[in-house]
Amino acid sequence: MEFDFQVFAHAWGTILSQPMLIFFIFVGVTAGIMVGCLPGLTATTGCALLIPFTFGRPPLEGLLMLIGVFVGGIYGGSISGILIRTPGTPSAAATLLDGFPLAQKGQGGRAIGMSTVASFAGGTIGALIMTFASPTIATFGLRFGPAEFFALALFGLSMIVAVSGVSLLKGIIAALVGLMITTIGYDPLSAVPRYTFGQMQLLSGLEFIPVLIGLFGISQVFRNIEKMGISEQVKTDLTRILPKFREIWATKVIMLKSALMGTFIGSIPGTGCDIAAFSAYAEAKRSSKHPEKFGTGILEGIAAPEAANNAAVGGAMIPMLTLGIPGDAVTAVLLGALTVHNFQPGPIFFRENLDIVYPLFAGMILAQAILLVVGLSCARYFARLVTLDPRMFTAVIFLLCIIGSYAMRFSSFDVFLSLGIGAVAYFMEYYRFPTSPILLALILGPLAEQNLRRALQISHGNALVFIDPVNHPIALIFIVVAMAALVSMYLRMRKSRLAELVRERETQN
Amino acid sequence: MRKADIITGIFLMVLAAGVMIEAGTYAHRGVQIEYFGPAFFPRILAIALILCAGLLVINALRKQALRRVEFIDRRGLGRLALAIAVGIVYWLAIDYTGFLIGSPIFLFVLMTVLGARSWLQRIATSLAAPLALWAIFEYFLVISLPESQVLYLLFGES
Repeated sequence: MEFDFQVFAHAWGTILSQPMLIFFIFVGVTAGIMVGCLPGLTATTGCALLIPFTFGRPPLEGLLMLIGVFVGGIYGGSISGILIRTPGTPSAAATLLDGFPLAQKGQGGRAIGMSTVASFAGGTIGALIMTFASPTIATFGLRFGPAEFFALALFGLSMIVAVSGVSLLKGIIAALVGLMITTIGYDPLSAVPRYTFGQMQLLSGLEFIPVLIGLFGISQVFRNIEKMGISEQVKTDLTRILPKFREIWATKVIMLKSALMGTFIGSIPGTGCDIAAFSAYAEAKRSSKHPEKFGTGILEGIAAPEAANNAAVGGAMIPMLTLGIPGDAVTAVLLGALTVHNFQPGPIFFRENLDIVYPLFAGMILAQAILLVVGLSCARYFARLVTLDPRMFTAVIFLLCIIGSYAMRFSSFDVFLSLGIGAVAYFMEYYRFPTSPILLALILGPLAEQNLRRALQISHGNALVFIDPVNHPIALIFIVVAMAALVSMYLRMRKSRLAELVRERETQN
Repeated sequence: MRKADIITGIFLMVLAAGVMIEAGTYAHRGVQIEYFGPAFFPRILAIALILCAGLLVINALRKQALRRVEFIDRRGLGRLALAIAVGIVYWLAIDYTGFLIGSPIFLFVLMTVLGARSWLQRIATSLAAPLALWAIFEYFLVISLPESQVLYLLFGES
């Protein structure tokens, strides 16, 4: 399965000849920027909230809108980061290091302008790499059997557990609970209903959308309500947004390098845009002729993380589209959206749905251009969102969450399920249990279970099939890398945790 | 966070034991080879969860629990409980009020609970947001939102 230029050209024709598709990308990008701007709402929350708006529409429209939300959400986080030192999304945390000092100097507009251009440049490079690399990786994925798919699912889960929190144990517990949730309902291999306790609503398992909205929408609303009134109201005033060509040209190498780094890091399952942004920032600082100026408000400090985190969007899409393994929480949501529209993500989706896959590539590239236009022309208005009264928008988002949970199958059970899961997720964050592994487990659970059982049945119960270097070398590689990631993360976490415990005891004494 | 970890650990162990016991009830059902049947995966998960939850409790007993970095604001928690109650009542009454009548009331009450004071903003938001949502769902996505049964009984339409 080579990259097909003819199909790609046809996909562009499809996108450009259907104004509705462009409209959906535009809506997605704009909504994404708005969500990203609002502190407390991430790109994941944005996608979770907007999935219900794709139900009644053709799959391509919905998927393009969600891609737009992803692209816009990652960029939008930088606006609040720059203006009020509160990143709208975790991936913008590195941007504020230089963005906020610039805003303090009265150059917030300049900082946002640079962030927009860097996001466009990084996002376009990431999207292009995704477009040209994905078919080859999908071909590789077509060779996978049950053992490889199980190892891949294990790999994806291990990576997200390894990077999702301060406690490996709590990450594993969260993933196990997520996997348990996927066993509710009919067993796909034997059709035996499991853990339904006679409830009709549970026969098809817990619906993905209400659980997703509970985990990332409702829990965030609860958090916002509890914390309401603690943060102060702020005023923002933007001057010139459009950056000078000279300033952009001066950061071209940093943008290119950061975009390549970002795409690579984003394509590793479990990493995501925030890690890409910090890595690129650190690299830009390390290789700079004047590293001491980083953190004082320089444009390179904005260009590097913004190019990287937007490039990571394209990177994270690669394993999601080609292997059915989400790169991070947002791509897990997108994967869920694919299944909602009756697609089975993975190499087969890639082979059999070229009419969807290639327009997604084209749409992703187009989304970057729309981001640039919308970002530069409307940044002033988006900046005003930062000052929006949280009492108003939190109430509206609560309503959106409730309606979104209901609209999937018109079920009140799903609304209460969403509220319940939201309450659990709200407390989980306080007690330092990460929620992302649950989401990934919901996606990867069925893949892991079915392929584990199939592989064992084929091998007559020989568990060594997963680490057989002769017949299943790919499975072995996935398992070794997953274990290595877990062990190295355990050692790092242990070190930082010991330091934390020592500090705690010193404080007590 | 020691106490919380101990309680969570014990709860998870009980949950995993329940999963294990329940899995036993359909272990011999289904058309698959018995050993890798419908009970196989839940049992593996239950064993793993018991081990991890046990470790969580042991860590907490050895005073190696992570420290809480954030604390729940008590006044905020009261406000949250009230907001959840408003949400539950809204949805329990939705069949009687319908989306178009229930949602503006829900939003207005919720914004008041959250501390919004401007009458104009509260009324405008609580009317505009549900109306926009309803129009999008009804005409654009062609998805019907709940309609009022009471109005339907009284007037034949909601």
